[in-house]
Amino acid sequence: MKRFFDAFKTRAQNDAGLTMGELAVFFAACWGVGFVLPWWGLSVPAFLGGVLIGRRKGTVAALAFFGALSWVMASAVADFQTHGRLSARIAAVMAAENALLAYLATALVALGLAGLAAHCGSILRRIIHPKAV
Amino acid sequence: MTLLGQSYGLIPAIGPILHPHTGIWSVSPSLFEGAPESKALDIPGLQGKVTVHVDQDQVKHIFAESDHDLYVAQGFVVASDRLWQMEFVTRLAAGRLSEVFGRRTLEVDRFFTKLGISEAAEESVQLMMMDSVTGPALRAYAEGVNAFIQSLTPKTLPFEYRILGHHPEEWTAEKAGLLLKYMTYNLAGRSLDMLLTRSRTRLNREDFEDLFSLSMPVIEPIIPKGRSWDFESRAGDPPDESMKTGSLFQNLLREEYINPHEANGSNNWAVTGKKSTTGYPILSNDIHLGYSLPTLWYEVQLVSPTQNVYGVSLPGAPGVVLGFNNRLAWGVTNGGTDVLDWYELRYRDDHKSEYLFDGQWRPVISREKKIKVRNHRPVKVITRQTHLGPLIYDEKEAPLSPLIPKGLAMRWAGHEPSNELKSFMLLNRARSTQECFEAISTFQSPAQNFLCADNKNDVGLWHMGLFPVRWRGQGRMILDGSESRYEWKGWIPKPEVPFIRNPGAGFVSSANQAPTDHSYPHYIGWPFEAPFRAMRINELLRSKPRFSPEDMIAMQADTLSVSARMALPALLKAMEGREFTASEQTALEELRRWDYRFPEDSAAAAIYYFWFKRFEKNLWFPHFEDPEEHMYPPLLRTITLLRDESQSKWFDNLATDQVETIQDIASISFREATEDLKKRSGSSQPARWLWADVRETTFEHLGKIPGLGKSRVRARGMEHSIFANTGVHGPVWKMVVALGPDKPRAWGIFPGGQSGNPLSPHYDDFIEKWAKAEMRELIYLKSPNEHNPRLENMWTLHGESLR
Repeated sequence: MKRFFDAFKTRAQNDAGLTMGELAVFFAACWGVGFVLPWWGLSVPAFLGGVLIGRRKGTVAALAFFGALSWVMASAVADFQTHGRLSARIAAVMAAENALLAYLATALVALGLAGLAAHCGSILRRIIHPKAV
Repeated sequence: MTLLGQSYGLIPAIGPILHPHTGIWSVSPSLFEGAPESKALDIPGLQGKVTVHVDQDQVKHIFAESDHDLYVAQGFVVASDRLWQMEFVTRLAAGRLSEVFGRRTLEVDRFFTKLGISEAAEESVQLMMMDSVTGPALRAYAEGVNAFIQSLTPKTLPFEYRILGHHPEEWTAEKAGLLLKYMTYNLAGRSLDMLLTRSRTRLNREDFEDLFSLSMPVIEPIIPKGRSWDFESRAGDPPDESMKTGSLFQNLLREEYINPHEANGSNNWAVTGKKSTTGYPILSNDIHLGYSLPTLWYEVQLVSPTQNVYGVSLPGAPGVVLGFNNRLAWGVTNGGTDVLDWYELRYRDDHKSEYLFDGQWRPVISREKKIKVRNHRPVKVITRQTHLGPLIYDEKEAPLSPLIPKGLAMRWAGHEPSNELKSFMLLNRARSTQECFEAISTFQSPAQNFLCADNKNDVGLWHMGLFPVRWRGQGRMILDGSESRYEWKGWIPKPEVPFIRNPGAGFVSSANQAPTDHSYPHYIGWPFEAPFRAMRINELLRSKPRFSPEDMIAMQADTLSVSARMALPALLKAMEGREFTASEQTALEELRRWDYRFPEDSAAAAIYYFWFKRFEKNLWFPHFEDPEEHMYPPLLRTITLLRDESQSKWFDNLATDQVETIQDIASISFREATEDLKKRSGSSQPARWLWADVRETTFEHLGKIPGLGKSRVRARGMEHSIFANTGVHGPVWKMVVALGPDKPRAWGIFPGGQSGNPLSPHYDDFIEKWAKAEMRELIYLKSPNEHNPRLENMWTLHGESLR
C-alpha cells in the first residue's frame, strides 16, 4: 500500500506538481463546499486551487479530476444508501439503461465546472506572478 | 456556468440537478420508510396524540383521539408519500400545468380553463366548507398537508420537484374540490354525441336505426328484468328529428386526445350470507382506470372515536373512498350514464356576444383569463358561458379531441355544485346498508353503482347520481340550443333512481352495463358498456351455491372473454373452405383449441384479439371511415351481425366493384392480424405469439417523465374479461371483503405502491403481485395496541411544539 501511495505521490508530483497534502485539502474543500454553497460551489475551491497551486497544465487537469471525483463519490454514497435505485432511476430519466451513465454525466458536469474554474484560477496566477512555477 | 445552470424547455438545468448534495442524488427516502421501531414527530395543528402504525407495505394505520387530528394526520401522511401527485392533478384540473411544463401543456390548460372545472370546484367547495362533516375535515387535512410542506428542506424535496425545478405551493381546500371535479370529468366527461352525429350523417334513417338502435335488447341489466316501476317519465315526447342539427358537420378537426378513457369502469358484486361459505356477505370490487405511477389510490386505515375504516383514498381528499369498516363494506362501479349534451346555438352576429333562445337574444358572458406559462409570457384565454353551459371551442380553434365539437355549448351535470365528499365521509362511519344508502342519497357526480353489504346480511346497490330528465334518445346527438323544448327538464327524483336490495338470487352485481331494461320509465343515456363482463360475473355467481373469499379472489382474476366466446365460432366458420399458409393453418388450429381465456402465455388469445380488431375495422371503415371521428356500431351489434346476419349488406364495401362477403373480410383481417403478430413477436411461429408479449402492459409516470414509469410488464386479461387489463388501463384497485360478526377479513391490491417517491422500493412493489392476479391480506387493526407481525414501526405524532 505504501508503495502504491509513493508511486502515486511521485506521479502526481511529476505530472501535476501537486503533493498528496494539497490534493487532500482540495478534495475535502470540494466535498465540504457542497453542503454550504449551491451547485456552482465547486468552482470556488477549483478557482482558488488554480490561483494557489495551479503551477502547470497538469495541475489544472488534476484539480478538475479531483473536483469531479468529489461529486462522483458523494453521489455514490447516496446511491449506496438506496441500494443502487438512485443511479438506475437517474439513468432511466436520461433514457439510458446503464446506471453508470448517471455517474458519467455527473462526472462530466463536475469536470467541466471544476476544470474551467481551475483554468481561470491558473490564468490569474500567471497574471499575478508571471514567473511563478 | 450559465450553460449548466439554465433549463432548456423540459430539459432541466443539469448543473443543479446533478449536484450530489442538493440535486437528485440527494433525494431522501420517504419520511416513514426504514425508520426505527418507534419514533416521535411534532406536527403543527395536532390537538392531541396520534399513533401511526406503518406496515411492511407502507400502509399507514392512523389512530387519533378526534376527527380533527385524524384528518390532520391523514393530510400529513399522504403528503409525505404523494405530495407531487396531489399538486399535479389539481394543476391539471385548474388548467395550470403550463406553469411547470411550459408551452407543451398549454392546449391542455386552455381546454380545462374553458371547461370551467375551477369555477365548478369553487362552488362545490363553498358547499363543502359550509357542511359540518366536510368543512372541518377539509380544513384539518389542509393543515396536515401544509405542515408537511413546511417541514420540507432542499434535501427532502420530492424527486419530481427537483427534476422539473419547481416548489410545492400551499395546499387549500379548493384543491380538494378540483381533485373531485377532475375525477367527475374523468368518469362522466366522455361524450360520444359528436361521433354519433357524424355517423348519423353517413346513414339514412333506416340504416341508422339498424346499427344504432335505442331498442337493442338489454342483456343482464343491473336491476334484473321483470321489475315494475310505479312512476312515469315527465320528459314529454321527442320533437321531430329533422328539427335538430343542421350546420354542424363541417370543419371538424382532430388533434391529440385528452379524453377520459372509453373503458373507464369497474366490476362489483356481493353475495349474501346465504350464498357465502362464511354465512356473512362477501363483497368484491375492482376499479378500472388508466395506469400511472404513482398510482391513483393511497391505501390507509383511519381510526377515531367516530370511525374505524380501511380502504383507498384519493391523495388530496380526506377520508376513504372505497373500503370497509367492521360492519359495512362498499364498492362502486362507474354508472356510465350520459350526463353531457352538446347544444348548437344561433348567434346574433360574428362577435357571438348574443344567442337566440325562445325568440329572445341572451348575452354570452365572456371572461378573460390568463394562463401562466413557464419561461414565456402569460397567454390570454377567453371563456364564454351560456345558460346551457360553457362554449369550449370557437370555430377558429382546433379542438384537442374529435369528441369535442366547436362552437357548441356543453351541458354537463358535473358542472352542478355538489358535495360528493360528504357521501364518502358518511360511508366511512356508516354501520349498515341502510346508513350506506342514506349516505349516498345526496351523491351527484360522477354517477356510480354503489354496492353496500353489512354484517346483518343486508345487501343493496343504488345506481346513484344526478340524472337529467330527458325524452328517449335526447342528447344522443347534437341538440338545438335555440328552444327550451330541447333543454333538460330538471332532475330525476332520487326515489326514482334504480336500486336493488336483497334479491332472491342471493347476489348483486354491476359492471358498467345498462342499469335497467327498457321498461324503466326514464331515459338515462345510451350506450352503456357492453354487458360481457356482467354476463361472465353473473354466470359464475350462478354456477355455485356458495362462495368463499378465495372464490371471489379467483373470480377477479378470471380472464374469460364472453365477447370472444360469442364471436369466434362465427369467425372460424367464415374461414371454412379458404386456403392458408402453414403458419396461418397453425394459428387457426390454436384458435380451434382455445378456451376464450386471456392468460399471459396464450397464443390463441393474441391471434383472436388482433384478428377481431382488424375484422371490426375492415367491416366498418368503408362505411364510416376514421373510428376516431365516427362512432362505429356498438360491439354487440357487430357480433350479432357476425353470428346471425352473415348475408348482411354491411359486409359489402360499396367503394369497390366486387361484392365483399363476411368470408372476404374475415380472411383479409386474419392475414393482416397474423402479419401484425409476426412483427410484434419477431417470430413466424404462432406458438410464440404470446398474449403478454405482443400486448405489453405499461405504467407511465403521471407527469410522463421518462424513466419514472414501468414498461414491459407481463399481465393477463383484456377489456371484456373480469380482469379487465387493456395494457394501459385496467383494475387499479381490487378488493374483496368478507364481513363477519366482529371483524372483517379483507384482501386488496393496486398496481403501483404506496410511495410516490421513485427511489422507494414501495413505488411500484405491488405491480408484480398484481400482474399475477395475487392479492394481499389487508391488516385491519381494531386498536393501536393490537399486535400484527407485519407491522414495521410505530410513530407517535404530537402537536405541542413546532419543529
